[in-house]
This record gives sequence, C-alpha cells and structure tokens, in this order.
Amino acid sequence: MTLEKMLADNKKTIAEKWFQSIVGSYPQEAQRFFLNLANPITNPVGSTINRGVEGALECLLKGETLESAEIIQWLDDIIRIRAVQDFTAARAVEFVFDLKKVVRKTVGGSISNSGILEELLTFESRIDSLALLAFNVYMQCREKVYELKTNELKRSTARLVRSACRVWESGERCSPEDLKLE
Amino acid sequence: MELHELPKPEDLVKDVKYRKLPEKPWMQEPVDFKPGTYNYPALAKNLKKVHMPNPREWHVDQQDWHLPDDWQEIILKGFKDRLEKYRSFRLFMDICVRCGACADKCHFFLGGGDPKNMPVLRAELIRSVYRNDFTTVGRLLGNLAGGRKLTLPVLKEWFYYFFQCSECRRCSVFCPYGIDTAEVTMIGRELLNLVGLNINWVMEPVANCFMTGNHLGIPPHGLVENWEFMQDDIEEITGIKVNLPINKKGAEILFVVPSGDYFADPGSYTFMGYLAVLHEIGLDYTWSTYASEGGNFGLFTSHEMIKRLNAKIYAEAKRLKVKWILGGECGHMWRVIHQYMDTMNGPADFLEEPVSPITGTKFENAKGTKMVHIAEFTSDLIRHGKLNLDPSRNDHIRVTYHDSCNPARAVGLFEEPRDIIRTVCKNFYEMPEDSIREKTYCCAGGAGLGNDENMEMRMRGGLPRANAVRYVRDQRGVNRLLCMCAIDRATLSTMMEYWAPDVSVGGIHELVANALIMKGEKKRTVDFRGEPIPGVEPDEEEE
Ligand code: SF4
Ligand code: SF4
Repeated sequence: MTLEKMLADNKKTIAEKWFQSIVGSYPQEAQRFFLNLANPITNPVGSTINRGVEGALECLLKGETLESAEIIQWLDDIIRIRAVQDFTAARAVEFVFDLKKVVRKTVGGSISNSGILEELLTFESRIDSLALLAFNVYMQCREKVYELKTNELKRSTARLVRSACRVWESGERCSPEDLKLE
Repeated sequence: MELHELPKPEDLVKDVKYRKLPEKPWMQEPVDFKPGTYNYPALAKNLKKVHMPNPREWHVDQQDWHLPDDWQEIILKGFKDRLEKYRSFRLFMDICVRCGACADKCHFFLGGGDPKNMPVLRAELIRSVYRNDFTTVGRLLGNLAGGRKLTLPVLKEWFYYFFQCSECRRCSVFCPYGIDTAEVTMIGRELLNLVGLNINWVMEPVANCFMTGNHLGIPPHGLVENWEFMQDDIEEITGIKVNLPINKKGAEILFVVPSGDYFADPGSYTFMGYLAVLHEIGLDYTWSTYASEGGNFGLFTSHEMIKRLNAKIYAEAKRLKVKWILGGECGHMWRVIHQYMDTMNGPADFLEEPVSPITGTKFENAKGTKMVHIAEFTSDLIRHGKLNLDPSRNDHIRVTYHDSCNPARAVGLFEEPRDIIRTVCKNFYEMPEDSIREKTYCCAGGAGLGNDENMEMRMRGGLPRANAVRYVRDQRGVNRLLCMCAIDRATLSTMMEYWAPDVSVGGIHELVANALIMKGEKKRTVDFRGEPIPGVEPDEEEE
C-alpha cells in the first residue's frame, strides 16, 4: 500500500470532509443551505466550493505541478468567493490547510510504516505550497475589487467626460466645468 | 518519528485571531460595520435641497451619529402613523408565520451567508420593535414574545440591513402569504429618514433630480451637447444624421429614459439605439431637458419623495402638450409607473390613451398612466413588420437575458424583451430557470446600493446572478449579458468584471440598432460600440 493508493481510494470521503470543513467556516444558520447541493443555481456558494475542492483534490492526486493552470483555477473559484465575504485574509485561505486535517483523519489511522509517513509529509508540504499560491490568488482578487471601483467610475461618466473633452478641444461654447454643476 | 508526535495542523494556526462566528442569539449581536459592506451617509447639502430632517455631517464608523435627542419618539410616532396609513405594512408585521420559505431566496444571503440577510430576519429587525411597542402581548411579555426595545444598537442594525436590501422583491415571490420584504425595507428606510439616517448614493441623485432634472445634475445645455455628440456617433457608424427633437411643443409623444443611458457606458449604446429606431420609423416625439430622468430614487427614500420626482414627468408632458409618454429601458421607473403613479399623481387625464402611430396598436394596459414601455412599443413594431432587420450583424454576439427585477417582478414584462432579442439576434440562450423571469436574481446594486464603498457587499449579492451567467458562458459560449435597466447596465458590468470577465453587458436597443437596416445608410462595418463587425471588410475607397 502506498499513500497515493490510500488517497485515491478515499478520494470521495476526503473531498466531502474537506467541503464540509469549509462550509463550517460560515455562520451556522447558513451552513445547512450551503451544504445542500441539489441545485447549483440556487446555491452558488456551496456548489462552487464543492466543485472547487473536488477539482483541486483531483489535480493534487494526479501529481500535477502546483502552478498548473487547472489547479489555480479551482482555487480561484473558491477564493474569489471568500475574498469578498466576511473573512480576514487568513480565514479566507485557511481552507487549504484544512485538507491536511482531513487527510490525517481519513487515512492517518492506517499509516503503518515510516515509508508512508514520509510520503504523507511530502504530500503535506505540497499542501503548504498550495496555501502560498492561495495567498497569491487572494491578493489578485482583492486587487481586482479595488480596480472595479476605478473602472466603474470611468464607465459611469464616460459620455460626460467625452463630450467635455470634445467641447474643450473645439474651443467652442463651454468649459468642462460648465457641464457639471458641482 | 511517529504520526502522533507531529504537531497537528490546527495547533500550528491556533494563535491566529479569526473573526468569530456569532455566539449570542441574533437579536443581541450588534452590527460590526466593516468597510466594503455599508454605504456612506448622505451629505447635509443634499438633505437641505429637498428639505429632509437633521442635515449634518456624520460617519457610520463613529460612535455618535448625531441624532436628535428625541429620536426614539420620532421613530415610534412615524411607525404608528405608517401602521395606520399602510394596511399592507400592518399585515406584513402581523402575518409572518416564520415558515422559512423566503430564507434562502435573497441574493445577499445566498452570496454572503449572513443570517440577517434572510428576508424573514430582515423584516424581524423591525417586527421585533413592532411587537414590543404596538402589540399587547409584546408589551406584556417583551423579549419572550419576540419583542425588543428600540435602542441605538437596534437603530444601527436597521441602517445596516435596510441598506443591504436592494428592494428587488425576489423573496416575495416565494412567500405563501405574499409578504413583500421590499416594502418592509421601504418603510424601514422612511423611518430612518425621519432622524436623518440616509445614504448619499440615494440622496444625491434625489437632490440633483429635484433641482436640475437628472441624477448627475447636468444642466440643459450640457445635456443637449451630450446628446448631439451621440447623434454624431450614429452618423459615423451609419452615415445617417438621426432626428434629435428636444423640448418640442406639440410633439405626439414625450420620451423619457434613465440618465445612465446618456452619461454612462454601456448605456450610451442603448441610447443611440433608441435614437436610430425612433428616427427610422419617423416618430413624432420629443426629448425633454426638464424631464430628463426616468430613474426615481424617491423610491428608495419615501413615498412622498417618489411622488415629488414622478410628478415632474407628468408636468412636462402637460407643458409640452404631448398625447402620451414613452419610456426607455429603465428598471425602477417602471415600478413607480406601474404600482404608484396612478394613485400618487394620477389620473393623467390630460393625456390620451396611448396608441402607436405606426401600427395603430392601442396600449390598453397603459390606460391609466398613459406611459408605454419601449420594449412593448418596439416588439409591437417588429410584430407588424415595421422594422427592416438584418440579425446577422449580431452574429458575433452570443446573448443571454437578465430579467431586470422591476420590469420583471413589478410589471411582468417577460415576453416582449425576449421577442425583440430573438428577432434581432440568432444566438440567444436562456439562463437556468431558477434565475430568470419572476425568479430572476438581482444585480445587488439597486435601491441605491450600487456605490463603490459597498463593493464587497455587491459582489456577494451579485454571486447568484453571476453564477448563472457563468453557466451559460461555459455551456453556450455566451459573451453578452442583456438587461433592461440602467442600474443593471452599470452594476452588472462591474459584477461581470469580477465574476465573468469575458462577458460584456448591454441593453436591448443597442442590438436592435445593430440589426436595423436604415433607409440610405452606408455599409455597416462597425457595430454601435464602434467595434468591427467580424467578416465585414470596409470598402476600399473608405479606407
Ligand atoms: S415566506 Fe413569508 S411567512 Fe414565511 S418566513 Fe418568509 S415572510 Fe414569513
Ligand atoms: S434584497 Fe430582495 S430578496 Fe433580499 S430581502 Fe430585499 S427584496 Fe427580498
């Protein structure tokens, strides 16, 4: 038995428990709604997180390099949500570490020799690296939120600014200030 | 080393200070005003312009909100007045059985998970005070009967959560008793207004609209210039100088649109679309620089303010001696017209029952208000074959349609926009059933919440809508989200930028204008955004 095989055999349980532990970070009253995966359209938070953990776990077990676009995309789906919710930065990405807990709880009892233990430590250090990448994704999402504000402002007055510039360039009629009362 | 000797992962992070989940029952948990989730207060100058109480400078994150000393009395008196005046309000206070059917129907709850964003709890914030002060059992039993006193933390909680409801009415669709939490929010905001608790993103548009006629407060000559530039843009695209009748007395029809359509992108393309269509059919109509705003942020302030702002449109119709009014792709304007206008400022008996001069269709549904939605008007034109259309000019656009909350839930306009879209564009894909028509998910930026300080809350609330858009994007290659509301065009653009960056946002008449073959037009090589139409080469001499 190798760790790889143990994880592959328990993939479904690990994904489920990982998902549940993430949902556990939400207010109690919300948890029961987020856990209900019957309809992805009426439960976007739960279903996106669920898909994300399944996808990320699959990539990890396939041994994909951590920088692979696919695994980052799965992380992004989850973190994009948590980055605008009521979480500190630490709490928003903490879920990556949850995977360690879940793996130990699920297969820890069956680890019988030091060879597998070593494999586990290697797997866990991959999770640590994944957490660092998660911070990157989190930062990108937060930066995007700030960009949104600037871009929205530009769009909301796009036509005004344009006509002000055109009037100004033509040297006729009024100045840009005239177009705005205050 | 053995496994049990290793530190557990949870031990390694035990010193990190997380935000804790609420431990006390919700009623005792005071609000934590976290930046990104609340709206900035209204500026004193805006309150003064419309004679609203307690204009002053104050800050949400400071302890003292500078309320009048007798704020409790003022609110409780206002509460009593409204219970007497609005039968629906009293009903909504009394009849909720807390069945929970609405609990998971609000986009803010679905996207954020804050239990106080469940519609039932949102209403409970105010209902608990109702029980305490206006019911016998509450007076006797207080807390035990689910009542609580109106304290400062309660008032702050009202401010936070009533400005976290976009008054979209999705929850009301699912309530077996027809309780409309949006209306509870409206009354909640009215009460807050009595002591000067309002937000600037509502009060500035209100003040500007009241003083100048539109939300940005642009004076008439600024408007005219702006409109003329769009006329020039259309000429560049089509070779045709379209009519631009302004303040024309005796025109048959007054046309009113939200100002977002001429100040902002991508609304501007819809505005150009209106101009092209109305020119092509040769409609005798006029724009007004006085009634230059379809939006009515009075709806997010008080019933009184709805009436004051709505009255301007009708006063202008009277002054210009038009027969009836046509309205653009606006959202909440239609809620005002459909649900309030008739009883507030009606009957508009100086106007005529609207009849399309092009097709002869009588818009009987608008008999009372004399105001017709442009989607009804244009779909009627299409049904009668009055528009010469080439939908292949929209082949590069793969669309889905967001039912904007108010035209959908308040007016029931489901088929007309779809009829138009199907005719002008071959690639139309619906989002999943639970997210369209009367169950449509809100853009999370309506009712004054579409400001930048509230961005995180908007992104949370926008998730259910965005999630459904991503579904059709992934399954059907959708790249354009259409909607029929200026607030949507602004806020959905921002929402897509965060959740689905490859999907652009626009209005319906932009696509109509793309497809519209205008008499005498030049060869179209760009669409109404000025972007090249794939597969169409400019003629050599033009290059
Ligand atoms: S669905 Fe209606 S009755 Fe049921 S909890 Fe919600 S508001 Fe109350
Ligand atoms: S935002 Fe919409 S769904 Fe949520 S409580 Fe308000 S009206 Fe109901």
